[in-house]
Amino acid sequence: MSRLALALSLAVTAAIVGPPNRADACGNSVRRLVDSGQEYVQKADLLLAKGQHRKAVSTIREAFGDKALAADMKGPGAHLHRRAQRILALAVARSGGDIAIGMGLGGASKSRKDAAIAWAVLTLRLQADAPAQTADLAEALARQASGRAEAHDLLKGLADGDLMPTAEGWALLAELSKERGDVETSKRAVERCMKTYARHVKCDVTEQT
Amino acid sequence: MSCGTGRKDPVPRDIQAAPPPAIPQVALEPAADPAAVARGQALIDRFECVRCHDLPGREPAPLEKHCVRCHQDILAGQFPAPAETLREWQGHITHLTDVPALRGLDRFRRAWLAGWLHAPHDLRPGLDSTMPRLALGTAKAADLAAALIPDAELAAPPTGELARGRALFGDKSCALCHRFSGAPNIAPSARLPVPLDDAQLQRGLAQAPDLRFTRERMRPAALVAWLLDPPRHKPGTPMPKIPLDEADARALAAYLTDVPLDPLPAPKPVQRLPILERRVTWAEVEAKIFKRTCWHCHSDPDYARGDGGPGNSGGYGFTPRRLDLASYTGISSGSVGDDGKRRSVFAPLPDGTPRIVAHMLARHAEVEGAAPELRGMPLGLTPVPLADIQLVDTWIAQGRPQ
Repeated sequence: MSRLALALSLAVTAAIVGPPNRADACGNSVRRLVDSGQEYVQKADLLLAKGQHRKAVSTIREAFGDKALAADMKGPGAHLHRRAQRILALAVARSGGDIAIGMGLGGASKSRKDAAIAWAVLTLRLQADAPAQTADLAEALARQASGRAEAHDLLKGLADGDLMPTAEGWALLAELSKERGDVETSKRAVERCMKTYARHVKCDVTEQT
Repeated sequence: MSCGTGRKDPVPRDIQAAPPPAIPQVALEPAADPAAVARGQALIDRFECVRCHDLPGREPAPLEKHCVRCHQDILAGQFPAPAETLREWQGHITHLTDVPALRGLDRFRRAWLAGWLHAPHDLRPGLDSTMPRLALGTAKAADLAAALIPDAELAAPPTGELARGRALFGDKSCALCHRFSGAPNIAPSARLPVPLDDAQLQRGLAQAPDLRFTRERMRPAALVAWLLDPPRHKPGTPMPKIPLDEADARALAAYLTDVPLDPLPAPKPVQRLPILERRVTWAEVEAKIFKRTCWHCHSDPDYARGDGGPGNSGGYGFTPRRLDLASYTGISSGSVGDDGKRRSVFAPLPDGTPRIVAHMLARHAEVEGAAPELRGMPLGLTPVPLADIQLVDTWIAQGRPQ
């Protein structure tokens, strides 16, 4: 059933997200204050960064509903839609699939958790074109037993290029490296993680299950 | 602005000691090569000159892409945004509120313009933003100059009387708006030669170029014609038509181009301040530097219809660098180098300076008159104070705490 839901969600044709409003001064960096969709996505982004995954998901769902899970969309709201999907996917990865994100994905049962994580991996893989998205993908992959080697390689690549975008990435690299017996990399990753002083991230791999 | 309050020089120099040359020192410029003009026209599109300048024969950029009109509309309260938002923005906008229109450019030397486009320096002390260093080499700069100044230079008129020009410079109150750095200080007269309304005076104060550069910048015949009737050559210019006859204009031109000037001061070395002992967090550098300045051109495209500004998505002739300085995650993700690969903006250059710090220091060097290999950031704007660069440097050295 969950697989069916996943397939259905990916097959949904481009949902229409309300076109952004017009107060985007200077064409780039000044946020569109009157675009409620953007307000919601930015709020969800902040909640996610604070580790409040459930609230981040509900904020996205409040703005987009099931459209947030739609496979793709075109037009002026496409970037915002992609961002909303990325937030949902990362919330799924960080919560281990515990949170229901709609269309039967995520929740208490193992099958729903697995389906949500599969959706998150697929969604993030489609967006993994920059370090931030790559680290997000690694977090989701690490939730799958079959994805941990790939997750390690992705994060190691970012670390080697000094392009690790998040404390979560360092923490996960520490965990995955330790798992592979690479103690040196694991120690360095812990050190880098601790230097970020990210309060909601457990950097010490000995504390992690 | 100088406004006649610049460097005092109570001892008049013997300006007669340097007789004006009898013939022009520089050969007349012929009409530009049509092929270069065509290439230059394409470059005007590529560098998106109309996003800042008005250009005859070209449509201005739409409001949301126009760096100056957008700011002007916000300052005038005419931008379509809530009043409270407008008030907030109005408090922030100091840059790019006025730029010269690109009309009547045939008064300039094409070779000078090419050199200046390649390595711009501050021409207009009243504006706190300058022409940015575009991504062009000398050949493209020459093509761009050819497109902007296609016509041949006219023969120079006879040289005027320098002493008379000196007197006119004071009588006509030139120093009210113009700085003339390196020249003897001549106070403007108490009475303006023509009435100016406030708006015109404000624009004049903002746009008036430092006359030091006139001798290399302007074609001699065009300078005389310009002095006689500026609005005829450039409609809308804040420079008024001042009552002058032909001999006056030639005399004033002679003073501007031939009066001996003090040499420009040598560029001062830019001092990278030491790493601080105290802890510096992302919140501090974000608030003081990245969100205040850098973010305007290096922002998150997801929140702006895919356009993260020229320093992210490209524009003004710059290739997309995909650099997002709007968030911790963004800055940690680095930028795309010339080889198309991601690179850390914190990576040390050969002298040990992190790349992003080196760009900010380079802007100081540019303002000092140097032309560092790295392009100074923020592009064409007031440099980030050294104490703020020190914060960024310290934050990087401390492992970039979040």
